[in-house]
Amino acid sequence: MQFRPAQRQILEYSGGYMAISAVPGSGKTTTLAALAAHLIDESLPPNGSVLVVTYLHAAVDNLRSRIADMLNQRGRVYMGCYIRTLHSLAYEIIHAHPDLAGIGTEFDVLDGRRQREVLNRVTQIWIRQNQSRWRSFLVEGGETMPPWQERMWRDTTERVVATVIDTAKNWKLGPADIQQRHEYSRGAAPPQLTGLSANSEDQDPMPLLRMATEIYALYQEQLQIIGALDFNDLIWRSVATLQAHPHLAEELRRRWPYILEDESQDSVPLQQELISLLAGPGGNWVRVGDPNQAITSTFTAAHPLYFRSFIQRPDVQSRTLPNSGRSALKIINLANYLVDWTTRHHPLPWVQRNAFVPQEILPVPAGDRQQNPDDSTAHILIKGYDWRESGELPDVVKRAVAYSRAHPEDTLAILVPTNDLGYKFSEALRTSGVRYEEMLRSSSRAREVAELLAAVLGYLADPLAADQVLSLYDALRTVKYPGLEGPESNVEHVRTLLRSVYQVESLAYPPPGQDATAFLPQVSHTTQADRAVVQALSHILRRVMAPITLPVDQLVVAVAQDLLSNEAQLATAQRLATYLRRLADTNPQWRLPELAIELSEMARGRGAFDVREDDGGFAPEPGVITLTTHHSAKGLEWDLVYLVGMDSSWLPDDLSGQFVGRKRFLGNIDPNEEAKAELQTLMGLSGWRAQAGAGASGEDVDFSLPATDLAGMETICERLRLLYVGITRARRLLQISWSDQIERPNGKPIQGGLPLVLKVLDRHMRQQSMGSI
Amino acid sequence: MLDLTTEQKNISHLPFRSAPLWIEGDAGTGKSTALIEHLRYLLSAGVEAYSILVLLPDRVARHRYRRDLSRLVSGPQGEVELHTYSSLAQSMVALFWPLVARSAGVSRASRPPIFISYEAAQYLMHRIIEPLLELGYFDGIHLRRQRLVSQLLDNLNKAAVNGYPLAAVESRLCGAWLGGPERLTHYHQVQETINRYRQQSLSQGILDISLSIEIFHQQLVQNETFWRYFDERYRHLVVDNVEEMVPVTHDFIRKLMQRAETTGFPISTGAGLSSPTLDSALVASDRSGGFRVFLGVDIASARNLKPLFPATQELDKSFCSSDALVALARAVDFRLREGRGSPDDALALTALGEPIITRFRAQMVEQVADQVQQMVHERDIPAGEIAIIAPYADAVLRYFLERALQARQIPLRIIRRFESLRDEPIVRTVMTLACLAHPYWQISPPAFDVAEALAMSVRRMDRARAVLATHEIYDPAIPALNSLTALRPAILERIGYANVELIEELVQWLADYASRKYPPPGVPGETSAPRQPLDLFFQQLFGEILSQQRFGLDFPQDEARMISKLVESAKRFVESTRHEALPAMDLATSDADVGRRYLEMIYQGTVAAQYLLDELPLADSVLLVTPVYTYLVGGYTSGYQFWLDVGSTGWWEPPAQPLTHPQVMSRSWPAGQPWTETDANNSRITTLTRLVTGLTQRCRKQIIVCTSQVEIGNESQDGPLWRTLQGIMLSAGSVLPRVLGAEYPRRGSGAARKAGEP
Repeated sequence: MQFRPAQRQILEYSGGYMAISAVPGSGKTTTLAALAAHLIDESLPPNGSVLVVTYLHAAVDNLRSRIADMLNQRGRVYMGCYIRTLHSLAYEIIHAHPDLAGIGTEFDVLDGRRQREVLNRVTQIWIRQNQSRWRSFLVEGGETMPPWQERMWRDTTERVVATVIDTAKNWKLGPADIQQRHEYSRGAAPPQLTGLSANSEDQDPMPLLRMATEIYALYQEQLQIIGALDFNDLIWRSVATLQAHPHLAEELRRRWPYILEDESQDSVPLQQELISLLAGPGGNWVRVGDPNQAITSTFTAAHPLYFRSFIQRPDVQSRTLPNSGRSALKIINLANYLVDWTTRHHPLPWVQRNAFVPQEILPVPAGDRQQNPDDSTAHILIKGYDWRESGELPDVVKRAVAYSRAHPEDTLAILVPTNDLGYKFSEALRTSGVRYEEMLRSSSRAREVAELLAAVLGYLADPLAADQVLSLYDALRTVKYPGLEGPESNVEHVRTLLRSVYQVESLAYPPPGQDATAFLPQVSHTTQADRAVVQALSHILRRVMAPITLPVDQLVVAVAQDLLSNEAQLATAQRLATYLRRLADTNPQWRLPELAIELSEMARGRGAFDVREDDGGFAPEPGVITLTTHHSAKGLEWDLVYLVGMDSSWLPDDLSGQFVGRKRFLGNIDPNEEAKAELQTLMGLSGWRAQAGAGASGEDVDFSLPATDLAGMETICERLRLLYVGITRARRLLQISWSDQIERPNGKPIQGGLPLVLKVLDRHMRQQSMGSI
Repeated sequence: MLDLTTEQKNISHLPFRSAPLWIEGDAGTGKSTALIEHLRYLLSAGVEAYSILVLLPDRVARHRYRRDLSRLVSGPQGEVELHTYSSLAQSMVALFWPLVARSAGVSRASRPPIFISYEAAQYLMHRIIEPLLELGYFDGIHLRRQRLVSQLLDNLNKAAVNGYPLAAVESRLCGAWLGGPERLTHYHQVQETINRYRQQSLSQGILDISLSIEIFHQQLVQNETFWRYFDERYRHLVVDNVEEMVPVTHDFIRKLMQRAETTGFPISTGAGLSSPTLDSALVASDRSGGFRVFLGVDIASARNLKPLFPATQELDKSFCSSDALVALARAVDFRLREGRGSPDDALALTALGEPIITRFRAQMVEQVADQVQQMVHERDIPAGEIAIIAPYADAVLRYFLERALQARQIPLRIIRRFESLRDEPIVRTVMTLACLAHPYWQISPPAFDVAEALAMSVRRMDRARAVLATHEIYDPAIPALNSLTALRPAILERIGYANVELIEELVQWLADYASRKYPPPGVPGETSAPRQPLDLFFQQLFGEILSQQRFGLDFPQDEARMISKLVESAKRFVESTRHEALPAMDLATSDADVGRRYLEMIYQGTVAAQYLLDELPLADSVLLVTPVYTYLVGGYTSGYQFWLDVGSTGWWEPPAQPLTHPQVMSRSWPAGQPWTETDANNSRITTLTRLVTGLTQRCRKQIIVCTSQVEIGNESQDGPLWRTLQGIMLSAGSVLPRVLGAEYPRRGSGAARKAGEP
């Protein structure tokens, strides 16, 4: 394997703390895998493993096969490597030492959906019990708010509580800690808070936080009752366990003498603390990330500054991976210019300082195995429309469809800023009849697995129902099970045949001497291919029926191993199996029919399996349009990329206007951010705010900004990073589009318009005299 | 006459008046064979079978000895007493009950003791903890009910087999605990619960295994009256696998030896001399055994017995293991402890066949099946020479193995432990049919269960038609099946006439049974319902319907044995709850009601079949699939062993038991000493080394290790055993094969690789 000089420098690593700042497409996963293989082969003590930590389930699979390849090249079989997401690592630490962690062995971990359910329940309970206090927030100047606003306030309350819990847990604060401190500091008004105050006689300076903390306490009680931990608890518990039991930390350090961490820019302080405990002082810890691709800070406790400040620590060897062979020079230049302009000329000093680190993408050196695409074939276009729904959307779809037909050898993608816009594009693509692959929230691959397994269980529960057979057929096609493909027109015909099959039992089990197809309605235009599909399906029906007598978890695993062959899918199936077993244990009277219903509810329910948790194993297929969000596009690349919906409601120039994701409630306040700020002020926490301020010597940066405005600034920074991620997905061709007006179903249109950053990029391109697609 | 080595002959022909003999050797050196030959020698010399006591570690060993003895000895042999320590304790306590009952603290000492089975003990414990759980006991532990019950019973047993007072359980557990204070509360609750259980037992005169052992050990063995009887009765002692026995058994043997010493050993050459104690004693120990630490087995305490024996016979010639296999065990041990290679590596490598490494577990199974097929069909290796061994033979693995091997016409036997009876389809089937035969229970099984029962009973009927039949003849509101005679011909045709005939027979049989009248049980006015114990119902159902050839071509042997186990389990439950204990356990007075209680317990998952099925001799033509512990303690040997899931940590990680602790509860653990992570790690290494040694000693030719790379459950497949073996292979210069299936055609979404990165 040939490595670039920057990669070689990293592979010379022999120990200590190291931070690698890697630009998009610089092969950081490859480098990490090569480093892991190198350490396993040459430095690893025989009973130790290299611990590889990442933040996405999908990445585990990818890293494993990369490391296996690297080890194979060294004549070894995959071993000595322990790859985990941070949550599963924390889970395993406390699960293996329940005694030390002070918990039962069979504790439950709440996934995102169940966590929200619990939160919703306790919030409603609190509101019922504290009606007047809760309503007092809504009364402004003696006026009672209309019902719609009350509904909104209900949702907002839940979000505020979620934020406070997330923040508090990240700082290892239980409800009692906050309440105690709150009692202590009553009366002394905190500085710098605009103060969203309840209009009650109670002169509490932090009523929002007080409410959230009370609900937090209810939430913890509820978790205690059901014996569950949420994701933050997992990390917190393991940190506490390691701190309380240094001998365990020592033991784990012996077990994992090297730690490699991927996607470090997405790490939150508590997670960083856990890994730091595992590495130990003077340990071996390599962190790889790209601070400019940190795109989770507005909805998690992550912030790129944590990784940035780690890089600057004196005990850390700092390395870069600056070369990228992914994109043509024009595209690299555009991305570099975005960083350069933002860090030097963005009108908001805060954004200048915090959006990006000044890091340039360099093309690969001459003679490299992977050369940048030929720049003469590259084009960039920034294009505006009057209306998004009637202009931008149909035009982009039309262009994408035309390109995919003209260039079936190329990969292409439409990247949307939000799932909602994604659904609209999805509808338009579906109507156009083009081949496209959707990676939006509602069509997650994890959900496909849940749907398939739900269809199987549904069939097993009622093998006489034609619609169950039909659902199974559809679900199998969704996961592209071999033998069931065929032109779309035939699929509809097969569906019709299946729907009207008589004696459904004979489809799986034809009587001796007969064929499953004998029980199809006799329609003249049924082809041989249709019959073959039905026969294949008949075979699958028998195959899935065979393990029916196994306990449900084993049944699901057996079926999954038979029908699926993708690691991420199997992992999802395993999680579903465990969940179903738990359901079956708690409901001994349940049988497959009840469990099948439960599973199909899970498959339908949005958020049961978060896309970001479970989606993996995606590779763009030439000629097929990928439709996805910027967030899910990370780590992927296409020949042609359309970045749509890039107007100023998404890419705000400043805080003056309303923009997507800016949560404002009473009096232009974002209660979420206010509550978080209250908590930080109360507890004297220094988060990224303090770190962001630390470097601001002598410059005109206002660090006394209200929390709501600060959050707005952060949103602006993250949108710019998302734009950077979007641009760097393209290999040769890029179109960025925006619209003036955005329709709303009931109400006046939202103002879009050309954002300043696109204006600047466009001007830059013109100066460079670039062409258009 | 078998061909015995000189050492074996020294044992088998030991004069029947001689000094106690300690026999020691590895597995496969022929200890048991020599002991059985010795028994034969004694009997043929005219020693009365009645005077011989054979002590064995478990029921499986008893079964094996009984089989071998009946094969060896022809003619009336009398009864050689084959005992486990607990069966000896029970029979002696029963015999000497009046002597010990009062001093043991039993309230109604004048009545005979009631020995209860493990099932009944679980039931009793279940009833004791139920109100306590309501009060918040064991909050935060989140164990399945059955596991909670079994861990509590485990503490009772551990105290008994280690011979310390029940009251010491809490202090032992707390003393070793290093974690948070919640657990100390739980340990306190454990103590309180087991005290209550014991109180209940004593007040009702109910003796479970732990109490029988405690009374035997603490009362009887201290009593001269008992010894007068014992000396009179037993003149010869034969003990096999003493390393698989618990400390109180060792105490018992020690006591025997010390008594013999004080009265003078008979001299081996001095025929005619007599001793007031034993005429002979042979105790055999497997050097590398002691697998059942989790059952309270204590190897150190077994080793301490050796100095008490004036004579020792070592057996060194292994009939099984080759030099290479011995080297493999040594190399693994060395590498695990020292973390580096040993000079044994090169020789060890020759004991290993080419490893099977695949990407997915299902592929590993297919590869194993291919290789087995090639061995059996092309190399003419009898299938019986091959064993497939896995840390856990879970249902998925069994399912895939069975399917793959049957498709290749390889006959196989799967031996396994049963976790929960409810998970066994044949158990569910007979349970469902029991409900339908006892309509007055008013338990209506779900239609899903009825369809399963029909498909399981009428073997040739597919599941879809079973569902169809169920739709037509079953209304879940009424716990009975309707006759099919009223159905439309079109429906009958869909179900299939052959199936219809058999279902109808079953329906009629159940209806007949429901209306049969049995002698009134003494409960007036309820004579119309069957009042027959549940075990008899199972027997009749099996004998008259399920096992009939017309219902299925061949009823699977495993399921037949499962039913016979169920019969036995139900019977023991019924019998042990028949006595005065009934009111205490809040059971109704009729057998049928007891039967229903039993059934409900199984539905709730309270009862687990704790024991293994007694093993039948294996035919040469049958391949064996088994979990590793079952293989080791079951006395199996093989030419070839496939070690499946060799990357699993199941090879060394003990199951989590928050409410008890096998090591801390053992006598050899100093009370009050904390159990650290280092202790846990050392214990894991010891376990793994012992497993590997045990397996290699039971193998004659070759071991083929097999693993898949993708995680199983949440467990990554690069556990310590696989890594150690890989280390041996690499240091011996072996080139590992390519991973099979790494380029497995990925259906669905394509390669999980970011495109275009170098």
